[in-house]
Amino acid sequence: MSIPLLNIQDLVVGLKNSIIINHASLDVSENEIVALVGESGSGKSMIARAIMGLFPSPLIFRHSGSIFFQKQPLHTYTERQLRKIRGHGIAYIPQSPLNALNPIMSIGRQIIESQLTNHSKARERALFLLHRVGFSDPELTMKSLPYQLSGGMRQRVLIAIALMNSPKLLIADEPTTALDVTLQAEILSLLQDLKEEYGLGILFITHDLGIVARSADRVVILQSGKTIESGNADAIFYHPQLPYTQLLIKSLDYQTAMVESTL
Amino acid sequence: MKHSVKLKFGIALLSLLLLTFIFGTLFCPYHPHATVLAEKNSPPSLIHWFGTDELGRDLFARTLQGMRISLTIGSLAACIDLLFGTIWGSISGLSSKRIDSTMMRIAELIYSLPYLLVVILASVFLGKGLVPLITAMICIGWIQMARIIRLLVREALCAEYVLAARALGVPNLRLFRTHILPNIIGPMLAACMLAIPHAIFTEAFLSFLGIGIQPPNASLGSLVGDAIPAMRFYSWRLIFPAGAITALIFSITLISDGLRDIYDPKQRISDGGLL
Repeated sequence: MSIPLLNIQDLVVGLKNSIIINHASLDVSENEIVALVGESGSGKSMIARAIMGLFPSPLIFRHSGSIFFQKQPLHTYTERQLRKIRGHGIAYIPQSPLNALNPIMSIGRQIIESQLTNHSKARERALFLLHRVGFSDPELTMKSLPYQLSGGMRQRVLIAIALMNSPKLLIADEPTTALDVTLQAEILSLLQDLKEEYGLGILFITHDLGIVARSADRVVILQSGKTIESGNADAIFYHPQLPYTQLLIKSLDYQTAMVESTL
Repeated sequence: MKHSVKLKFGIALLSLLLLTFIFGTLFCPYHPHATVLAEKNSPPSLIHWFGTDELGRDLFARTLQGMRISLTIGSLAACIDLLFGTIWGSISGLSSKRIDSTMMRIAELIYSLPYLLVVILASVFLGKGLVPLITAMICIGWIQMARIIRLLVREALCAEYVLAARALGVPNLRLFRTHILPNIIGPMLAACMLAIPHAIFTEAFLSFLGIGIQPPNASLGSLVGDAIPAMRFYSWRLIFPAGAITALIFSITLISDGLRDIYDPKQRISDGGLL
């Protein structure tokens, strides 16, 4: 197996005397969707934040463990070095599309924002990407303000923004939670297409096993800050090893059963 | 932008006052300092619209001068407050916890000084008049603004679009300029508008006490102060300047209230809808 795009080893993150991420390890390779699954509060988003070095509070910091991105030791990087990685090597799709766009800035300006160099080139790329993520009239979209777009459209804009600097790794932090089911499916298939098109590694953070079953190549299960099980999606679904994973999958079966019985 | 009756009414009243002020200054034939002792204490008439004072000076001209001074002080003090407040507040809001709390404790220390004491001390050291008065008011006034702006910056920092921008590698200064500042400018202006009537009132109050604007210059406060001893016989000398202060402060307060209604959604919910 080749060297993974992202490699996290024994990551421990927390406050001074309370641990949030407790020995988490995971790999993401190129052209692969890895789903990070866990219940709420298990530290899924914290891992994403830790990769980018953007902790929600200065009181939370990395205790030990390593994060390698394309063999670069991110855990030793300074803020200045990390800023070069953010957006360029690793892009982030935020959790709620409704809040993640600056409400008073046009979509166009927000898309181009991450590119300081050639303005017309950036504009061209923005138009191309907006078209790629499914806007039929990118010129018009560039001019509109976030409130003029629906939730699904905003999520597409966020994906386009994330792709602006051709990142290698995409961290999608519950990108479908705020969307309804049909939109979820659309966004998922968009992400899958993009993965194949650009050979992206995608770290897909979610609590929804149904989504995972449909799109992920590999699954990592997180329980109270600890990665307890990982493996191919099929293996995890059909032969879960740990009782916790079995319970998770059972709860999914229960949900589907409920839906089917009501239909 | 949502419509607010308060805002509209405030703007209408203020425009009316400003129009009166501009046309009055253009067409009033009397100098505010010119005394005509033969016409002293004459009641309002077609010749002297607001009457005259105990030295025969035209009260309309003096009220206009008072309004000019009040407006100057009000807007200058509020703008400088806003400037200092923005600088201090945003540095504090963006800094680490230790710097932030040090800066805020310093501000609170200054804020704890008694206002009148500071103003009186300033007038002792700087002399009396417009500039010392404004300086003294800014000494303490900027702190309120700094606290508001620090809070706004802190709140904006938590917004998801700020996190999203940081995740894209946007440098801090640009983050502040493009994402934070434009998003807090509305509440900032509302706070600034609220500082104007406060400054006008303070100036009137200090001039009333005799430590503000000095004769022969008139401010609305000093006119009221001069009129008090004679209010039972020459009530117009009290009514017109006092009415001018009231109308001025009322209109600007309405405007700032209306702005706050528009920019502060929490307030809007608790009020049960826009007025």
